[in-house]
Amino acid sequence: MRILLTSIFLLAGAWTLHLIIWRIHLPKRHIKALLIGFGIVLAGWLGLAVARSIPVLELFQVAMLYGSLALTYIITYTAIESDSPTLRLVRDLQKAGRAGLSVEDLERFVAARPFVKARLEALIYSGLVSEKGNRYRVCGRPSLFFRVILGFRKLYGPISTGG
Amino acid sequence: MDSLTPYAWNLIPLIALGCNVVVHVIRFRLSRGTHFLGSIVVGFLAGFVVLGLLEIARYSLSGGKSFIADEALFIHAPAYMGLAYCFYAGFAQLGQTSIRIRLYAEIAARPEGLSVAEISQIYNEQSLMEARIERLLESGDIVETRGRYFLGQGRLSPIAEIVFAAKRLLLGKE
Repeated sequence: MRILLTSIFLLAGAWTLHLIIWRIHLPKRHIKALLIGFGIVLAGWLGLAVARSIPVLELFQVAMLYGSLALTYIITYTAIESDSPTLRLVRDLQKAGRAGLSVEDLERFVAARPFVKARLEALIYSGLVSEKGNRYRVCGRPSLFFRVILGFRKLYGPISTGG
Repeated sequence: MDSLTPYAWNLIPLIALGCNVVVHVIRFRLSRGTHFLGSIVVGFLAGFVVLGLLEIARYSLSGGKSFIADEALFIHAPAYMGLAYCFYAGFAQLGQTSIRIRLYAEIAARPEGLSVAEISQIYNEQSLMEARIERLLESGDIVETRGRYFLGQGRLSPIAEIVFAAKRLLLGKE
């Protein structure tokens, strides 16, 4: 039970730090900043724990549980950071109340959110794709995470086309 | 060697996660890519069964020490659930549904590249949004009455409330 409580205490500390930093200044890269912030809290606690001669097995257990729960939060945070068209539409309908939205409203909503164009631009911005002669080609080396996901997709077998 | 045994037992959540991933991939391939969510659930349950069996084995081998049950309940089970969620939301689902990753895979699969027209053929903006709206109508999240759309009784409404409240709290905007 002590391991669970220690992990929850550390998570609460890391989350409070995250809230304070976010309220002062939003970082440019949210996920990277979160990974660093949550990592620093764990590293700080590990340093203190070693100085207090806490058994290594306990450090290992706290690191495992804290790491697992911190990653759970960081992955959930991506839904907060990004703009989900589905949730945005639900939100617009909540705000519209009994008046609802017309077909024209929905068409305007769709036109304001070009799914593919925005993602293509993000790939170009990341340096993963380039445009030459009106054709888009892969360039540069994707990040390790990107490569792992692409590699994992191959385990699924043939990739279906389209979104 | 005995001093390493407690550490090895603490790898149970990772072993369970490994089983989860393997069973998920096998189930998904057997269904020919048609039951993604079903294969996620089957994989999660398989991992949980492995976790339970290993914890029972550990408990028996220790002669019934109570701290083993505590570790299983308060460390290994939540760690496994966290890791399984990370695998699902941050990895498997991302590879399946992220348009950015799918688009990159499509472009990477063609050395000659893709033109805008070819990309539009694969990903039609209008049909993507229509498909989303259709799914929302089917799930009851939105309701259509005489050409107007209203919020329904689906599960997305409370999720949207939570996400937008979190946006206000953390980002200071919706």
